[in-house]
Amino acid sequence: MKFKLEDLTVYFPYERMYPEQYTYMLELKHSLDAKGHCLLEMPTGTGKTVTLLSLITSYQLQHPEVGKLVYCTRTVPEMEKVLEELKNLVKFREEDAGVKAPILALGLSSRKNMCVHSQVREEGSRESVDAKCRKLTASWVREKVTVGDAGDGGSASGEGGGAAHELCEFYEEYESKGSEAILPPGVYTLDDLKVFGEQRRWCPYFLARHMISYANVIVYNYQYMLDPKVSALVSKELERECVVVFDEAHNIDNVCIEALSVNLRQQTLENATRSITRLKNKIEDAKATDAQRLSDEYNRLVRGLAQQGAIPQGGEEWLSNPALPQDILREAVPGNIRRAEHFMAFLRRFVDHLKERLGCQAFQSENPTSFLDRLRNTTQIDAKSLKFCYDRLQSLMKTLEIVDTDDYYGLSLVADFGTLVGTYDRGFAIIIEPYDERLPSVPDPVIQLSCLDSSLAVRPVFEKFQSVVITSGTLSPIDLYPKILNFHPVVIRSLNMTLARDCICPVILTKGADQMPVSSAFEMRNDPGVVRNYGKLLVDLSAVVPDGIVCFFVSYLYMDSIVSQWSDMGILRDIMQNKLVFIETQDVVETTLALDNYRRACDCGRGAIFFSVARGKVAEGIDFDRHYGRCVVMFGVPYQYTLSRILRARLEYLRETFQISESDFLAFDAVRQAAQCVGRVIRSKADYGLMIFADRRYARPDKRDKLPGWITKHIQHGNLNLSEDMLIQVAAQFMRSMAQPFDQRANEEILLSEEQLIGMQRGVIGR
Amino acid sequence: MLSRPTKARSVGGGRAGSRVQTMASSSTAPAAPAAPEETQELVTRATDDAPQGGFINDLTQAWKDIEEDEDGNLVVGGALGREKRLREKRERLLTHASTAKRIRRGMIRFVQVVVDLSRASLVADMRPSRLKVVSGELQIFVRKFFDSNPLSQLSICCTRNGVAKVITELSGSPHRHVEHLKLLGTQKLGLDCAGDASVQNCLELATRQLRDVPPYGHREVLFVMTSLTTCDPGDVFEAIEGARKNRMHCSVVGLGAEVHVMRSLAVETKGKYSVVTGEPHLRQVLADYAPPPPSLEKETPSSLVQMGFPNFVGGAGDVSGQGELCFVGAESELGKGRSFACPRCKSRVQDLPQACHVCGLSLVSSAHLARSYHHLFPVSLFAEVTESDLEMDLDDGAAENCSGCGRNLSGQLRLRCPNCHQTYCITCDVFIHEELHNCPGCEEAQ
Repeated sequence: MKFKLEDLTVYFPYERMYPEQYTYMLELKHSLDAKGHCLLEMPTGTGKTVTLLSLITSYQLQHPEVGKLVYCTRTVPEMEKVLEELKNLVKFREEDAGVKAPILALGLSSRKNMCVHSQVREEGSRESVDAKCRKLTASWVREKVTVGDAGDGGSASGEGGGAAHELCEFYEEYESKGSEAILPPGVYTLDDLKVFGEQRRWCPYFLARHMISYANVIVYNYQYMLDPKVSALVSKELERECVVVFDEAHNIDNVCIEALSVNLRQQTLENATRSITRLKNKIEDAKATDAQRLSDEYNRLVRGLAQQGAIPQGGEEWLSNPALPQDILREAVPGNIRRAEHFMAFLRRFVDHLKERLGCQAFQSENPTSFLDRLRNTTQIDAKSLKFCYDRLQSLMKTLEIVDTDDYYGLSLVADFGTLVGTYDRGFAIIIEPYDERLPSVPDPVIQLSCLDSSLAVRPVFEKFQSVVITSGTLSPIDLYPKILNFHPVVIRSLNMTLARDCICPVILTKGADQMPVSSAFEMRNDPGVVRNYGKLLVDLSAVVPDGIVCFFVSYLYMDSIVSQWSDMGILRDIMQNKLVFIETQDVVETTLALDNYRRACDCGRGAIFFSVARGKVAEGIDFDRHYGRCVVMFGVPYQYTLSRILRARLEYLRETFQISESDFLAFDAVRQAAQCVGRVIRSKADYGLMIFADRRYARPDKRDKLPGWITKHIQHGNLNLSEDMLIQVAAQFMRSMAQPFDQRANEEILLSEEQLIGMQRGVIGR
Repeated sequence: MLSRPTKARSVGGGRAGSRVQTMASSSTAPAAPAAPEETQELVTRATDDAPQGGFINDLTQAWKDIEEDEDGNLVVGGALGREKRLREKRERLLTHASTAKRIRRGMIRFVQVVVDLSRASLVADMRPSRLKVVSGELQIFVRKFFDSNPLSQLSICCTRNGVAKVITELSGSPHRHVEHLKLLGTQKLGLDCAGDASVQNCLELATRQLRDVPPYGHREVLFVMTSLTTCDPGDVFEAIEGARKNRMHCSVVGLGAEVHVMRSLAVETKGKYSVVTGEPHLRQVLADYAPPPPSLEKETPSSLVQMGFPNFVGGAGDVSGQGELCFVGAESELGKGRSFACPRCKSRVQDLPQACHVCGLSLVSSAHLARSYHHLFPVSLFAEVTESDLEMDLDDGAAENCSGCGRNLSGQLRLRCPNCHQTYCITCDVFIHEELHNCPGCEEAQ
């Protein structure tokens, strides 16, 4: 369908569209027109992705001055989904609408997901793939091999250093083509890129990196935009006119915080110490064999970092400054760490100090200033040199031509830590804990450099790009996001979902069949009455809800305790008569297996229940659509662990800096998690699902109002305060009514056709 | 396969057809003028006026349905409500009939009914329990089924404790099935409810039962599932695939909620899946299942079917009560009583329709054949007489009274048979199309 949205011609790949999609486009267009940021909430299952893509690509077409569309997703599967939608859209544009404007769109991910080299991609972790790749592609490695080949005529190097210095044929092939290695226009998912790479024998990863500057649409992970270490490599070149989209952005503040936080544990520091020793040896070696290189480096450093262009560029880039670009000083490295051996001594002192701090017996919390003060008093390390820690290390590694970078992870974390502490004195806290609060008997000392201000990491994005779109299915309460991210959107809007039938049924359970209140509040959660009532709810539900039920608990700890109590009470046995039970654990492999079997049990009609944890992997990334989740139960309100030091520090910071009260933030955070969990069951309008909020606190207005509008709108008045027996009847009734044949035409009736859109357009203009 | 009228005649249905038609009309005709009103009233009360939704947790306000009519009598649902329902029925008929004539139907059906005797059948969300309701509705269904498909056969099996068990073998006698359906839920024959249902075992059992059915037979399985789970020993999808390969059509009637595996079973095997909202709905869904389903040419190729029309040799009517020895049932036991002799080998059987125990010939009575007829030759739809038509017709003096029940039609909906031009009220219209299957006016004219 092709229609006019105000003055913009929009190409939309489907014949009809939902009214909310239309509104969404309108709001989006207004913010693009105003060259400002926007914050939009629209429920999942309403075609948010295609709406976004359709409008922005149409906008690009009409306004060539608008730059690329940079679409940030959280996971690789989401990325693939976006690219599939885009393929569909481009096909429509070219074939049906006859637009002759080729689009180049590509996904970008880590080497692990993109590598086509037969040996490298076999590596297990992301880091080892990266390291192995560098071993084959670093500029000095390649230089050595070419020199060796030329000098020895091939045979000698084949025996001697040949095995150690083999090259990646894909990278070589790509390099030899130089700037001619170009992707023809089209939409490329990761797999498409790999196939293309294998055909042409070009490395897909570097090809994609290279093509970013030519692409119209780029889809990649949040980190590539938010994490300064990665974004400096990838996103630096993007121009100001780009439109940046953060999809599923309800947790964007946490992503920002994680990007700037560093945790140091015992083994990290041990690794760092080992690395220092190894580097020292290398420096000695280098001194003996190639002193020239070190003195060259020294001279470079004297001249300052900005002139670093002299270092050969290649596939070896590994380190990048963890601090934000505008905070990095463009000056020469301080004199006391210019010499390699001095720098090593400096690092050793720093690591020793950290080790000493880590060894303390009591919990400590301080701000960067006092940490630095103490550091200077004990080790004479000042903030200025610390700030350059990272750049200095990077330069040294390059000079020493080190490629097995994954062995140096500890040292790089320490350098990260040092640079961040040296650069920022506000918005961070250093928290040293000798053990986990929840497991006091297990010593697990950790130094945490925790970023408290989520606006820090995202600020450069808002400043650099003219339009940033933050969108998700659950962004309520929507006015809190501009506060915690500290930006001023031109459009804030929460959209509803139009449904042909009431296919979601949110209910609030406040009491058991015995009329006793149920809650996961700390003082009540271990009350046998509450545990029994929760258990009875699940037993009864398992008899009326078909196929899959998903349960979310507030924490692993709570889940463990309640499941063991249920087992003692015989509740689990009763549940197992109706459905099998699967449990999420902290082990990813185990959880994947459990999920797999859960799906199988749902498929074959045995029925299953999945116990999962809010904020866990499952709650964030796994969809329980169709029969995989006919019902979702949120046991309790998923507050964060409020005694956590980091959270405390963050709450305090939020109160002081943004005037957000602690309880407000906690409730907001808990309810958005709950909404995220229950939203897992409905992924399209043809789907249906029962959503149960099982805690009496949800009935209070302060919680309920924080739920997204599309959920609250569907809570019927009678379902606000249900007891367990009433709930079962509501559930049975809902399941029966949803099983009745559903007329697809009814769904189509709420869709807008082209004529209706034109009609609406006139109405808008007339008004 | 008796799908086309020509085929039916070729095996001698023509003669029988006319005989049965007269039989049918003569048996119902005397009652027709007076009865429809009353019987229909009763029927509608029993079916439609039952509280909407038979599940007990549904809020029912039955007193609100009681109204006072113009004579001061209390009526359930009120005249208006009844009219509305009848209209709805008529609408349904219309849509049904518009496609009916062109469709090939599987007239000889072999149906395996699966009753779920799992734990879930004991749930008392329908009064008195799900099982009692299901068994009651199935009894009605069985009678209706044989009414609509006299040439067909049915078998009942149950699933409990994860296994499937045959209750009654394939046969054409409704009595036997109904007798056994009454036993459901009792300890007798081990038919009490326990354990889980197993769809896979049921399907395998049904496949075994229906595998040897002749190729013209339409193989069907009807699941009446009360439970939401199935506990299978192996891969249920293999069993579904097996059923599909054996050209079995599996339909599922579920109580409670939509179950994925049941839906995929129905979709894969081209059956129907429905979830009932209450007792009346259950009856409706089962009733919809009674008329012969459309069949595909490639599944059941047209073929001439040899059939024998056995002679009645006496039996139950004998004063002595002795009768002659005959074969009874699938196990070919010898019994005494009324019997029919196979025209080919002269062996005797007790019930019709049946395959001859000795020579395997299908034995039917011509009446059975004829009663299957109305699916192929439905009574043509009656046209609604509008006001303008009325004015034109007024001089005929006709159409003042319903020619069915004799009631005055002024102010009511009038319907006219396109062939004999008799006028009927809507009650009679529905009765003629749903129960009688022939138009009294046309019969009279013949």
